[in-house]
Amino acid sequence: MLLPITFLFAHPHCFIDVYPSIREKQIEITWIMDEMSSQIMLMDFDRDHNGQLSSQESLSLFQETFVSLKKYNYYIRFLRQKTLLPTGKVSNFRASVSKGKVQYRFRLPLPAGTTTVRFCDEENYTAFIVNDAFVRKANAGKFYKVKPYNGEIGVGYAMELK
Amino acid sequence: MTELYEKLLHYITLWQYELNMIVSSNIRSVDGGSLESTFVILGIAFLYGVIHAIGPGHGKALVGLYFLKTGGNYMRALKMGYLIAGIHALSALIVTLLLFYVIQTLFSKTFWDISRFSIQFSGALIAIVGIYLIYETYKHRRDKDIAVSFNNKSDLAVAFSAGIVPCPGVMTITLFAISLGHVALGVATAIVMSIGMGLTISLAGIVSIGAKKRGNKFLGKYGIALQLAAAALVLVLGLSLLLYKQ
Repeated sequence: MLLPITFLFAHPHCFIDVYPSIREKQIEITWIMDEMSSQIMLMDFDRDHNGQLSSQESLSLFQETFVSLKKYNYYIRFLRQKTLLPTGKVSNFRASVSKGKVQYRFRLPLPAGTTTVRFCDEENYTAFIVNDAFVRKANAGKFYKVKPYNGEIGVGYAMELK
Repeated sequence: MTELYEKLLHYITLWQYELNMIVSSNIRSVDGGSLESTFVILGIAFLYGVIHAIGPGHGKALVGLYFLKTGGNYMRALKMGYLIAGIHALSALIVTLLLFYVIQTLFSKTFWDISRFSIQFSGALIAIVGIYLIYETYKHRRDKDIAVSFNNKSDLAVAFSAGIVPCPGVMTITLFAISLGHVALGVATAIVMSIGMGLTISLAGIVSIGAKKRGNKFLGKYGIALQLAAAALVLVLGLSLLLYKQ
């Protein structure tokens, strides 16, 4: 009878702005990390200390950190009504730096019939921020409704496609 | 989660998100020793500490249960809150300085490895505190006021067991400031943030002491059951942390 343990101590230390761009069969996600977390990532992966992430540095970051996020479905869940759909394979990953902030851009297949896309770290170590302004910027001419989502522990957002 | 708690968590997250942005942009733009910028950063760091500690973690559950078990006065809760926050920030400072000046590699991974290990170590200590509290409750079950058996040593043990987990929030801010060359500011920010966190953790103890006083009046001679339940929950809390696996 142990307590739901992450509920007791988990709280976010990394804040990520999410810009989700909806395509026909794909979703392109841009994550922009907060400045502090960006600095820590740069200390690890900007190996030539030029304030940027080269293709090789981006690949190292992908292999050493991003790949391991597969077990969390990259903190993105696709739903058809209330049914969870499988998260596919990441493609076109590229990490870069803009205005001192580390950005990840990557694509995931958009499962047919997706009605909602959720962005949430269920363990609440990372806070994913999605708002109307980010969604408008990522989807020229289209608008998708965003509302807060609360998991068992994590705090996140749900974007409604239909 | 209740709807109210869900909303609160959202607000806490968004407040921290805003404060995180303000602190980082101010630290980045602080020019050689500008007193005004320094005070702005320290003021926000205090607020950040208060809000950061409202969310889950930071020993509030342990403090709450401990004072539900032992009772005491409000000053003792205040002292306990600041002891935990002090140890919490000090351990974060030590780890950050070691990481930056000695290990100098894989900060993001090492952050997580240290957090995971310290959470389990803290769990083991909290479980020992829980066993001690259960033992004391049983031993003094016929005493009118068993709170007298708890002293500074047991307060210190509780503070140490909860505070030993280095606060990742403090680690992140300090590492950020140090990496930009603001070593003194990084250390000062950690101290001020811990003062803010201490206030919130103390409040958990104060609320608990208040609840115990009311509970004692209400429960009368069955108050021992409340104390035993609180002590048992401390043990469960410790075991949960000890057995936690990522």
